[in-house]
Amino acid sequence: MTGTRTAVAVIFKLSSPNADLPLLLTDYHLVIQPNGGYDDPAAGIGTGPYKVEVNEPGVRHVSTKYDGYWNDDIGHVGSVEVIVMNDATARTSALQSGQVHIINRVEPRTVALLERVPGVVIESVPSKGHYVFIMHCNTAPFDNADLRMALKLAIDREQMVNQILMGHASVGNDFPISPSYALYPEGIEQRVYDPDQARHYFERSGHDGPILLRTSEVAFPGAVDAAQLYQQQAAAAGIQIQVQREPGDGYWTEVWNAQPFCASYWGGRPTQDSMYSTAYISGADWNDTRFFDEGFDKLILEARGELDEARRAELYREAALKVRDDGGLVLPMFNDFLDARREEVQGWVQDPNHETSNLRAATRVWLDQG
Amino acid sequence: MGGHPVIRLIAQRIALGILLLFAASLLIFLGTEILPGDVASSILGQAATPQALENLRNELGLNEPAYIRYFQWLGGVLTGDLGTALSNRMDIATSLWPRLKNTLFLATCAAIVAVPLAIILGLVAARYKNGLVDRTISGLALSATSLPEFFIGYVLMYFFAVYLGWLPSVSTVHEGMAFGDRLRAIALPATALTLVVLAHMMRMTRAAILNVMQSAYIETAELKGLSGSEIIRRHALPNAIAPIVNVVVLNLAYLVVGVVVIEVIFVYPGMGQYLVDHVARRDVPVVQAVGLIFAAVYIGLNLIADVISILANPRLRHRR
Repeated sequence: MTGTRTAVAVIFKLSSPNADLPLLLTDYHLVIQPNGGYDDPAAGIGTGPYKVEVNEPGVRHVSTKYDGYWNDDIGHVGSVEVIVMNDATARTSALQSGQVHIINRVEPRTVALLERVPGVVIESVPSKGHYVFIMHCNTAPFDNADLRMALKLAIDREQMVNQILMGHASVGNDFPISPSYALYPEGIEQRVYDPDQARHYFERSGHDGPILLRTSEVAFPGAVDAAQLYQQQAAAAGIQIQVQREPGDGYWTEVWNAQPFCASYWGGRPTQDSMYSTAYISGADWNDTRFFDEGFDKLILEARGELDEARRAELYREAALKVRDDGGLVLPMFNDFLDARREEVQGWVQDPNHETSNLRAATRVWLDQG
Repeated sequence: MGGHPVIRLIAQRIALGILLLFAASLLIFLGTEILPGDVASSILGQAATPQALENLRNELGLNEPAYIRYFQWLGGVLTGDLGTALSNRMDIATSLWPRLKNTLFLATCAAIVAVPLAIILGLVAARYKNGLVDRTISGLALSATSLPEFFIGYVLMYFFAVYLGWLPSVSTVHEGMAFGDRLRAIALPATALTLVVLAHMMRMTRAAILNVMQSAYIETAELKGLSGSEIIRRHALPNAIAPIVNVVVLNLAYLVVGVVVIEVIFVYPGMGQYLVDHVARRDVPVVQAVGLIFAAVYIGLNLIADVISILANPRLRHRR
């Protein structure tokens, strides 16, 4: 293309209908590069307002404003430096001392302390990401619907949110869709902690003896503590959970998607369809709850090609109910993204899709020099 | 075999050092072999399909038997090829060199402060042994050493970076940075390292001097009327030099290979941080390369310590 802007049409040919296509195209994995990226995909030439100056993986990345960028709405600063700091305390002190303007992944345990520091603002954003305990619906003893229901009723979601994530989360309802998704199914009754009902279902399941729950530090932040808390909550319903702590190494190959009951996490997806298609339909590789339900598969397939919004919302509502009531998912909480910034950083957009304002903080913010 | 006994001794030490280095390379390789978890799956993470895993294993040569991979790796190292990092496909030797320079820079700066300081404090403590000065110096140095490194690091960070705002808490350095800025950036980690190694060298200096002070010739020196400081300077120190050099070089080795924790908390782009980042990603070629360099530095510095103590010993220096 030359300097002039001309109208260009791009045509996508799909093998089956997909009403979500425009949303899917916003996925951050998809970038536009010269010659489709075939020349040198690692050159770092994309469509953003900054150009790469320094690229030292694991140390720092520097970019400067690209002169004459077409869109004045984004890219307000002269240069951006990203420094890799794996140590949470190092990140926090760098922000406190004003050496950096923005940090990501503030620890829930220390966020209350950081909040009190003058000049620092905490950005806690409800997200699509969620922390879960997953049961294989086709493996004993979890192939018993009463036992699954007993375990869903035996978890105190409020206490999980308050004690594991210090309130920086929202309560889940055993289906993997948070209010941040388009067409969120409204009006589904919130499942609450009910030891008596849990005991009733547990007795009806006929199961006897302890239930083995595997967990690890890598499953999600606080996953070991969460498993122990779950153990105590379930004990009040007469359900004995045996917590087994697994090494972080190899957790995603040996335990997750392999063992019948374990702790895990999911990030968000752009649409409800991509969440369900990735992990809940019968044919999905990562159907980590071994949930096989033909009726459910049909609902998802129909919703994918349905252009009538009301009808789509209805289909997704039914799908959510199926996962919530029949599935193997115990979903206590949707985690917030916890970032922190200096006061002088302006223009922060609270974005539920990814941390640090959907990873776009650098193109969205500016600095108040006053 | 004739030759000067000193030369023979030194040649022996060097040969032993090379042998040790080979043994270390074998240990490092075996160590990375028995790490739990599969390299391919830790690179691809939670989102790996079986086909992608199989492709990556083939590409990395993980299906070859271990001893073949060891000799391939060793052959590469001997010809200066450290391999390619699995996580970012970059040449390890190229990424490692600036990291090694950074680590050596930090270690050198810390040593320039720590070594003279430790020896002077040791001499002062020996001169006023069991007095108030000795007790104060020893007490402070020992308590600094007893604290874990990360704690010293965090305390320094809190006071000098967060509370007082005098120095940066993040020690990121890069090519083309002015020397003064570089020094300012590493002030806190260098101080932390100094505090960590100070006591060992100081106490050994003190002990070595006091040991020599028991000798008969020191008594003679006293009887001919020399002052305490004069005796230490002219008679005790030259004869105590071997153990002091030994402990100094041992601590220099620690400054290079023991900086892992300090580098991580101060975000200093040296070898230690490089190692930690890649251990977490199961990037075995990088872990092996860094491990081998650490081993070489450690063995090399110990070799130097040996040679210096041989040379400092008059009984070995002169032909019988």
